[in-house]
Amino acid sequence: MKYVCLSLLLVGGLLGRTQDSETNVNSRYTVETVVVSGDGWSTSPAVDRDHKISSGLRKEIAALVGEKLNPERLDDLAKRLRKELRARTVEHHVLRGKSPEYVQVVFQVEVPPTRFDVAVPKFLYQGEQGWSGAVEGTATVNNNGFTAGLVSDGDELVERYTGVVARYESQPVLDQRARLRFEFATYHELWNPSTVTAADASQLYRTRDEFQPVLSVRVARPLEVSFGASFESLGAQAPGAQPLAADAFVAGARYHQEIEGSLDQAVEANYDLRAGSHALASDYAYSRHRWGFRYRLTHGKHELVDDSWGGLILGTAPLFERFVLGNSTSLRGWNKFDLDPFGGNRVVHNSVEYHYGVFQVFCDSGAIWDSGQAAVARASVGAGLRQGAFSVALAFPLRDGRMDPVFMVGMNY
Amino acid sequence: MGRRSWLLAGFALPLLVARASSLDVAFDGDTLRPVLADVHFIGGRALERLKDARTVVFLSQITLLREDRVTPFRHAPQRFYVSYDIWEGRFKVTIPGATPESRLGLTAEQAEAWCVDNMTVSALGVAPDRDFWMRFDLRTADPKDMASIVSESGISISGLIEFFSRKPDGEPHWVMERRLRLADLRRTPSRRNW
Repeated sequence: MKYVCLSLLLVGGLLGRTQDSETNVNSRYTVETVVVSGDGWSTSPAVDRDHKISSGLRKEIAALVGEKLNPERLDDLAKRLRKELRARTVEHHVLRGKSPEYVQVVFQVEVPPTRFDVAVPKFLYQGEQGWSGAVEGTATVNNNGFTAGLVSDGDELVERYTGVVARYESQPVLDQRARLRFEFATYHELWNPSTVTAADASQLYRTRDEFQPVLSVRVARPLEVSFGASFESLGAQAPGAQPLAADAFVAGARYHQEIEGSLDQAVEANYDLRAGSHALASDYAYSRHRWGFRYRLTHGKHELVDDSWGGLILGTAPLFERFVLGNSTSLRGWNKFDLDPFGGNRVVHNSVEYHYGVFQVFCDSGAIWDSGQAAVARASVGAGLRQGAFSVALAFPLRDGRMDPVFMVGMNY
Repeated sequence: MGRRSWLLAGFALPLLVARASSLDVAFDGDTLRPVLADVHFIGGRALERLKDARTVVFLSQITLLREDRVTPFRHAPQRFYVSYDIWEGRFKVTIPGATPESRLGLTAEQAEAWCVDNMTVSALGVAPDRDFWMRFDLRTADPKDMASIVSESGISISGLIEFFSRKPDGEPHWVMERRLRLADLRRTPSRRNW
């Protein structure tokens, strides 16, 4: 025992922790380029804005360029990439650069060919509308995603829809630019008494089955377009009545651009079209247009977000297509059934949010109406906490003489 | 399990995971040093990692054991931080400590030789006519292993024993031992000043 103690004393204080930068001979070289490369894809974070990697991590990787090589830092970033990309391994390799005294860093990402994830894409409580939630399990096999899930959502639409969802998303094809997606869902519907009163009985349905094949194509780095069809079968409320078909062509375009600097900015614009047509044997003929614009400005812990969107329905659309305001994402604090229990075919909405760290304040304003009616503008304000998708907030609808706060908690992706 | 049993198990386990081979020893009158003419530890996976600009840490431990081959009476741990200059194609070896020592621009053979020359254990106080065992361990360590082995106060002997007792994870692990008596050893001049 005394020798063990003696050894401890002998080595004690003799050797301390050693920084890799002190011992690694390559730490005198400057990083010329950094590339993150996976199965069939690669990105240079200093140049590209690949959305596989979060903005924060991408910036840290990009910041390696021009700095002296620090192998410990590479280990740390490889570990974080592995966690973020849920990869099996992330190895970093260092190669000679094009110029003497410079080196190139390559992070090689190896994703397991098969993995299974469980996600909760929605889970929230809203004081007026109760609970909504969804849970999904996704098996990814060679970049093909197979998803099955359960959902009960009383927040997004006029109806509360409860059922199962199954989805297949193909691996990227056409030079990583395109993905094919098939979604099948079957829902049981519940209607709020005020909607039942406002609607004609023939407009309500008991069940809704959906099949939606969509092809998404990335035209250029910030622009993605999608095309497809949506086949919906609406089971009638009345026993013995024939189900109605609400089949539509669907198309969309999404533009997303991030501008990084001392102030980080992100601009997103989108447009979605759903066109019900008798050509698809649909019982409804309509077109539904929805466009949106979102701007985000970030500086340190400060973040300012403006989110505007509007919508227009021409023709007679089924209830699930009608617009809603007064839920967990729009005119927060208002009750959608008080605003328009039947949903509207015209809508405009704007939301301004300011976040400082986890604290958030917001101001929503918007109007929902039907063509031929006068639009009534409404507003609400609120405050709370937000961390990623998780949010707790108290929202106050601004109306004459009354202040009825609504509590909301949950996560919404 | 008592500390002594744990220590004994720790010293016995390496023999199960790596075959102990015979050890040649140099003795300069004060210190004992392994002679590793046929051991080339800068190779294989370690060399692959070095050529990826990583630092590879080699941990060595010389243990003197009493005649029963079980009871240790002296330890000499050492660690070597080796890196490979991807532009020059040469190695750098650093022995960290309060006054770190480094050698730069070495070939693989020179780097190995310099490491070996710094793997010594003091023979002072060892009776010349008394039999004892000298055991030599050498293996690579992952930087994350170093956290459990090296603390603010230096190398942790228990951490080192635990480390050398682990099952081999594909990394080479050299274990050699030999029964010695100082009086039987031919004295060789020290090579430490080359």
